[in-house]
Amino acid sequence: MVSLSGDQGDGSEARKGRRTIWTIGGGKGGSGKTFIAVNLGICLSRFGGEVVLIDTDLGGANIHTFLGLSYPKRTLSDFINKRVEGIRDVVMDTDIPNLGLVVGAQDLLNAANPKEPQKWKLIRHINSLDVDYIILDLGAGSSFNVLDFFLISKNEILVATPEPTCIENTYRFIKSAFFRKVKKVISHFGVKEIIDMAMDQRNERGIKTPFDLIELAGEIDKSIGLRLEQELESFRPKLIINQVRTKSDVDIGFSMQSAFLKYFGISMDYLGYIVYDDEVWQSIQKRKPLVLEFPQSRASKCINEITLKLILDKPFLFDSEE
Amino acid sequence: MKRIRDQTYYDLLEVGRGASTEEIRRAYRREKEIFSSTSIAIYSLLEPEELKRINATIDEAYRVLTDERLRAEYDRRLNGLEEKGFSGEPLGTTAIREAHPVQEEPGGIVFPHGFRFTGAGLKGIRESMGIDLKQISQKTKINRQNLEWLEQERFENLPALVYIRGFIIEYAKALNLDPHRVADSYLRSFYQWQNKRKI
Repeated sequence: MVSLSGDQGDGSEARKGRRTIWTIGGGKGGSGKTFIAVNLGICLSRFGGEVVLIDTDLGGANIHTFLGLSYPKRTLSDFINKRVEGIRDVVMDTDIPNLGLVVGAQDLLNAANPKEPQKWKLIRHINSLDVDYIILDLGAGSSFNVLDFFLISKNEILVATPEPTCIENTYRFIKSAFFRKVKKVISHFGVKEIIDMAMDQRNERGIKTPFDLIELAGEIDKSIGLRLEQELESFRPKLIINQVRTKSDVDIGFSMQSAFLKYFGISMDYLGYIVYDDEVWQSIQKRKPLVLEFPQSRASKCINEITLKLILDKPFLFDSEE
Repeated sequence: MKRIRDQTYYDLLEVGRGASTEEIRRAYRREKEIFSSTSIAIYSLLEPEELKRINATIDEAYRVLTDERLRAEYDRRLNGLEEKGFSGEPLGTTAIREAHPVQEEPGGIVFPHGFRFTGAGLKGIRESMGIDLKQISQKTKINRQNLEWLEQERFENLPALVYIRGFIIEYAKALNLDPHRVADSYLRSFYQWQNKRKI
């Protein structure tokens, strides 16, 4: 169904194994995840690779609205309910060359809460989608479904606004994500139990940080403690601060980076910030993506900068022999 | 990475072992700001008790590291511990901060070794700098159609290699990129295309 017009770039042979998936989450609703996913997708598509945006906000999908498209005939719920064979069948074209879109399920209750096997099937299919870049837009909250999508790839992006409420959710989200991540790699029953406990904010064992968990797990089995330490070191989420109005808002990103490292032991990359711009609001009202409608706006420039940083990090544009 | 209680004073202030007093003073001010009770960046992260303890440790780190005699003594102790297998590597956040300055100036972007400047890649870079083809055309005196073909790698429409090289060098200069590096990388696609045509 998809026929993304890409006459340049590497062929599908060359990109096998070079696909990059970015997941965009952060816990708080209204922080700009979908806005960023859409505009980032457009900027990425300009580099000539095939990009697919996937709205995994099951139950509250609205990514098509940001692109000024109406609700399509085929959505993720067709895939979840086995009305189509593969996820390829629900990728729809957009007006933008190289950019495809998978719209989430909007209404169905059973699609909003897919059963475990359905979810893992979906994740498997997303992982095998043969394109250059995939951007996953996540729903709000830190439910297991959201966390599992967030952890699909090693390129997790957090979006936060410089407000206490949002920052509180960001810390909670990233902590839950780490606990969820390690629970999947640990098979020791006792340690699994402790991880479950840690998920509760006010747990009786007093586990507040990954350090606390590692210490407790290490007391049970030293090798598990070491394993968790490795997991902590390899966990490197990226951060975007959205709706920045002042210099001190920009600095919040650096301060969070520092606090993450000191208190959680998590090295976070501060990718950049997006300024608060009236044009962002206008573009959303018009249902036209910011980077197309107001390419010269300050916010557009911020998104372009972030795109470049992401792309410079990835092998797609590199010569393999060098 | 270690818990705050196990971090060295240098780790805590995110400075290197050889940091000057001025650097330490700046780092101290920054840390005090991050861990102030009104700091938004750490909202909900710490209990009041923990916050108090951390602030006390930061104060102590600053007191010791800005006093020549105390610092020398602290360094000696640290070195002794390290010999026994205690690793006191600096945290490295400062390095991250310096390596990732937010909002780099256009043209000030550092492209890592091996980065491939394809037509599409150059187009992406150009657009992210907010420069359109008209501006490039005015600057380079290359007509717009040729510039478009250059970005699309439509080699069959473009003149001979020597011209393409000239075009791409001018194009790179207009974007403030290293012209020869860009040309060498870009022309790889040309050679690939040429080889394919021969077969």
